[in-house]
Amino acid sequence: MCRVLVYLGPRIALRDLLYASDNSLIRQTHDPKMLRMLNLAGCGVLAWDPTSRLPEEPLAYHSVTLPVFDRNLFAMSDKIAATAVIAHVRGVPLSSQSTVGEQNLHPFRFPGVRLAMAHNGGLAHFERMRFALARHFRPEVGAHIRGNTDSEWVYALLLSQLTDPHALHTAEEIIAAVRRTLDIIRAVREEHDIHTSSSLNLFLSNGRCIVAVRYVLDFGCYELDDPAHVRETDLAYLSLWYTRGAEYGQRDGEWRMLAGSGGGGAVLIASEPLTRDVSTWLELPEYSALSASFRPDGGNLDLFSAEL
Amino acid sequence: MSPGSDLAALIQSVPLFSDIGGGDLEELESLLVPCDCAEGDVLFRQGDPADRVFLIVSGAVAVRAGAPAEGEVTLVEAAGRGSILGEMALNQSMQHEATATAKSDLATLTLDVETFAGLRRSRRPIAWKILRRLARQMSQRLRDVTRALSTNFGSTGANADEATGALARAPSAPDGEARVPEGRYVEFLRVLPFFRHFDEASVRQLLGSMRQWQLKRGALICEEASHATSCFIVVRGAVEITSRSEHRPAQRFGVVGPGRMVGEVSLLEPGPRTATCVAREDAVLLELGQEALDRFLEPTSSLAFPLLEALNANLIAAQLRTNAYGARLAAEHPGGPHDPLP
Repeated sequence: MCRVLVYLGPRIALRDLLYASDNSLIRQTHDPKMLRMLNLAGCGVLAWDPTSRLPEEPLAYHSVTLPVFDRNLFAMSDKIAATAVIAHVRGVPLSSQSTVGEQNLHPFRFPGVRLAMAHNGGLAHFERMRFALARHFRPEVGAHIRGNTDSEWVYALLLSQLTDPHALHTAEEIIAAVRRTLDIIRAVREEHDIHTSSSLNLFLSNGRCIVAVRYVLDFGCYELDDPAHVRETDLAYLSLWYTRGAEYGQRDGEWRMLAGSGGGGAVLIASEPLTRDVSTWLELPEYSALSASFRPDGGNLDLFSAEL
Repeated sequence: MSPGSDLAALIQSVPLFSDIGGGDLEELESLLVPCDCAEGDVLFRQGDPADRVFLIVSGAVAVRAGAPAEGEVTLVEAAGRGSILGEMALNQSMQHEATATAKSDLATLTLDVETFAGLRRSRRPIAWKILRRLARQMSQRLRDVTRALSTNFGSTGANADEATGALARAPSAPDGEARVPEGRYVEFLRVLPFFRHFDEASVRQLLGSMRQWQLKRGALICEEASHATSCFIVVRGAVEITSRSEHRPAQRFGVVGPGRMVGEVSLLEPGPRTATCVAREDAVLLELGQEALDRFLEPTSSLAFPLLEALNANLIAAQLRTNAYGARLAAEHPGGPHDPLP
């Protein structure tokens, strides 16, 4: 079912975001606190560093190696610092029907496009609606789809709602595209008489802003064929938490957002808090979006929330 | 311990224990373990497993909760003699929601949560009395917190027009279609959180006194400030809980899904409804009336314990949800939705 994080703020070592805390994203592959599912199908990271050689291009790393055993990721994470990060660990049913491969790893970022996306959730009966969704793609966007996940299709659909998918978008433009995407998916589901609960927690970034969406279509509408098929995610909204402060760091042995040490402001949004102590985290309301953006003058972040 | 002793008087002064007397009082006293603390000692930390309930005999305790950016919220400035801390854990395993620190040298009596769990499993009358009081206390607390949030904070951006339109009428029943629950329901009900600790016979017994409603998205279920005669369990779909008024935009306290109950506060602790509930998705609800609820909660009812525990679990979830809402408002107020970080 996946675990995800997005970060925006002062340069921070990837190691600190991915590995350091007691409920780190890497640890959530095998020991998540708010999900009864393992996330063993690979890991993906996009990290933007304005001091790097191509500052508009993020470092991109995707691997199906279990990140706990991935020496390359571990070694690299201490060498890379970034001001914007999306990281994702993928969870799929433990079944031979699941496809584990690099083409299915998030975050997705099509060639020439600034906006990247990761997804936590799933579209019920995707196989029945996929080609109806494709009718809403821009052809040049749809042509880049490589995998067989619903997530990548949601990404293509969202990009297709932007006036220019290759531009650098504001958080407000991204949220407007999310709204249109949700409307299209809802309409296609209606066309195909699909009314099963489907989670769409989305995490987006273009290096200058981050957007997180907490949404479920037909929340609470589980399948009626067999009580054994009622899922955890049918009964409770998928979690999505955030924390903010001057910078993310360590104090008294605990990782948390720290107050006013001269940093310009940082926001961290994740499927679940990266620390077992959740007291410094807040939960994003259901059916809502949260965004953070660097100001043009490079000062503090602008935070914006919206109901969807 | 004689009923006239200071300790007996102290115990009975605690609202949670106010129904305890005679032999039950002696039993409770035998379960309480003294625990003294020095000024500055931490009784428990936020996030720690709640394994004991503390009754303060003398001294004072401050209760604080963490907040983002190394912030801190003081929940209780100084809880003194007769105060009780961590009592929600008497109903279920949970973590502490705040940190309690001794402001002075402290004498307390502690009640072990596992010991009380044994009383619950044995369905002892003393456990029933305490759980029943816990339900009333939490209902009153929710009522107070909800009122405070509605009064002290403005709109969170919810749709004011939608709120005004919904107040055009106040139906006495949910705005949907009532049907008799079908047989297969019991199997599905038992996977839902509210019914997980009920056996099949108990679920059927409860179902026999409930009415099923099928509602379309947007249907009004019950309205804030109205008179309450029933509560509702969400079987399928979702319900949005808001505070609405003709004079201000709506505040959304949360959304609940299958296996959660709404509308029970005003049945457990009489008073006008504390919130408005609307179907957020097409929903199926089971309605349980006041008379049936009271009957099933009688100590002689075979449903008393599973129902009390389910009600309290639901109230605890509502309390946590409301706390989370309040914490978010406190973090974002007064900047509103556009909030440049310091």
